[in-house]
Amino acid sequence: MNVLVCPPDTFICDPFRPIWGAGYALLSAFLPEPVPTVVLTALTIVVLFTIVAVIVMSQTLAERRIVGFMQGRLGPNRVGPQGLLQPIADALKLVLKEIIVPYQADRVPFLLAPFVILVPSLIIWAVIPWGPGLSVTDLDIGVLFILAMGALPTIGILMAGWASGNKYALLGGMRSAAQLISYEIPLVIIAMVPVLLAGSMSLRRIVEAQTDRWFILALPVGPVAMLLFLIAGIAEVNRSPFDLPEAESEIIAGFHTEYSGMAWGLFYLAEYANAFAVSALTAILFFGGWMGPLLPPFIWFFLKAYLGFFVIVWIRSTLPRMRYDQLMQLAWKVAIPIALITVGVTAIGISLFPGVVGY
Amino acid sequence: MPSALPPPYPITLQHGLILGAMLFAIGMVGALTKRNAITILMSIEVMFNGVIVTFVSFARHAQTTDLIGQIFAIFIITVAAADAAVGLAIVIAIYRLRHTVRVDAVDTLQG
Amino acid sequence: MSIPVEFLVAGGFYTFAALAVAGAIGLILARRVFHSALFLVLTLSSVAAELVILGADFLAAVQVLVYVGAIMVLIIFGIMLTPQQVELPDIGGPGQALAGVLVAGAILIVSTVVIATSRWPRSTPTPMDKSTTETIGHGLFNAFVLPFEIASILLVVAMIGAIVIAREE
Repeated sequence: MNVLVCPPDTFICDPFRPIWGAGYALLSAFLPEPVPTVVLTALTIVVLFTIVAVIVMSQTLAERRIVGFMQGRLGPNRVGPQGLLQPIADALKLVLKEIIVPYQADRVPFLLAPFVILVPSLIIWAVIPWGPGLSVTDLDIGVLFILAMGALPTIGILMAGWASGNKYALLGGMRSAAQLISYEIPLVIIAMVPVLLAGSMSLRRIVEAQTDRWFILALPVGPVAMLLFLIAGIAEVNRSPFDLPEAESEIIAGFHTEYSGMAWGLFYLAEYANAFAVSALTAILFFGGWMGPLLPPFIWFFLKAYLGFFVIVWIRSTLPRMRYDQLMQLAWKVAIPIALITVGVTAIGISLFPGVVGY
Repeated sequence: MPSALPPPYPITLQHGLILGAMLFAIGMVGALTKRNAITILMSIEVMFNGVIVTFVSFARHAQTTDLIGQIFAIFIITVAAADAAVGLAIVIAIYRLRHTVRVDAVDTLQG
Repeated sequence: MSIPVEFLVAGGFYTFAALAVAGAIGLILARRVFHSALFLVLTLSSVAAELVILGADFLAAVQVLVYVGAIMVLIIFGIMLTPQQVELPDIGGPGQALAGVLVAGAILIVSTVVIATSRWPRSTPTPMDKSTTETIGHGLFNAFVLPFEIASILLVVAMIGAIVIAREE
């Protein structure tokens, strides 16, 4: 399947390269050598964070509206036209609320834990390509870097649970951490399937290897790998139906019981940023990233990633929450064997039929 | 030209080795003086990390390009994982019996 | 004149080296075990950054994924499952602390003298032609396949052993 990508050097297709070129020419006229690159990279990072922040804020509203429609009611629609200013109202409320540090809490880990959870979620965006050449950087070990950054929030959750000084928070933190490390294993194993099919861990090369055929269409293993990646990813970000550790009716609120105000806001942001990252990664690894006919590549990427997020919200509003032992059994008894078998079949398939998937 | 610059400027082999030696020594202080079994385990992890830095420095400045130092560092991480798992299992088993993790409280040898 | 890249690399090396050493010292001086664990997380992350500066990108990602993401979680679980009623002073008296510091200090001084006075064959980085992942992969499956297989057996044995030892009867 040869998808028609819009012509690469036109402004509509790749607006950022001419902007970068103009900025570089402007700055290098009067600044010594590494400084223009550093300044432009810093500006790129600021723009990227702004875009991600806006997307996360839109997700808070989108989720509530979508869940509302699926439940036969309207979601929040009072604050602006169609509720578009609702995220701003939420953010304002969170900023103005007092951050209460409980008396028995360990102050420094308590206040550091939201950052340990949020920072890896944002660092992942440094390697995700929004279009051809549109990423802050492209690492040779891109997929492994993302998986490594996805393993860090576990420490933050344990810090939050312990430092709260509250037994419900501690229990919720330990359960959440056990869930995260259990689902990390099938996630890492199944992320090797697109790496094997593309022959590289670099995200740019994985997207470019899908020029002829998207990896989800790599028939025996593609759909299985995509489903397993999505399931493990949803479990990694503690979203429903795997959100028992933070369920309000079960264990108060798990590891973020004692957090209020902007500290809780950071957990909330991290959860949505992580969910969007999982859907963006699914789009990149299995659905061709920014490939698509006619529209500019970054529009295609955004549409695919947001569609993935829609599917995640759809799953949330449809499926009931899983019980903790069911969730762990799913990880250890179902997900890990299927992941191992899938990777084995992929490796055998690639060595028996070289050149079939564009490797 | 880098060679015209004073010694601390480009990072040489000696820098990495001294960092490895410092981490190893500090980990050794912890492993020798602490009483909590888990703290001793953590100090041993610090010693492992010192060794990893040493091996990777050697791999970077080696005569060949086959990165044997980094391969060995992967094995170090593997062995450290196995060691931490079994060590913590033993600590938990002892805690269940004696309700303490202090190594001087489970010292039953005479003399 | 332009700012050479080695300046930034050297700055990064010294920063993360200082953080790693500070984390290790914090681990020893912290009064509560949980704080020691957090200082260890700092040390391990700084060592991962050092590995990136030393050109071992694959190994740095493996260090974060395995050491910080899994071994530290295991250690913190161990700390949470073994709560102590009273946080007694850790060090067995000033005599022991002094002896430990002297021994480690002696080893450090001897190592530093040896490192500084040896004639090393080369002190500048070796240029690489293939990526580190590819090189490590070739090494692991050609020259080092036996240690690789033994390491996997070791992990299985350690896993089974840990489960058997820590299981409630």
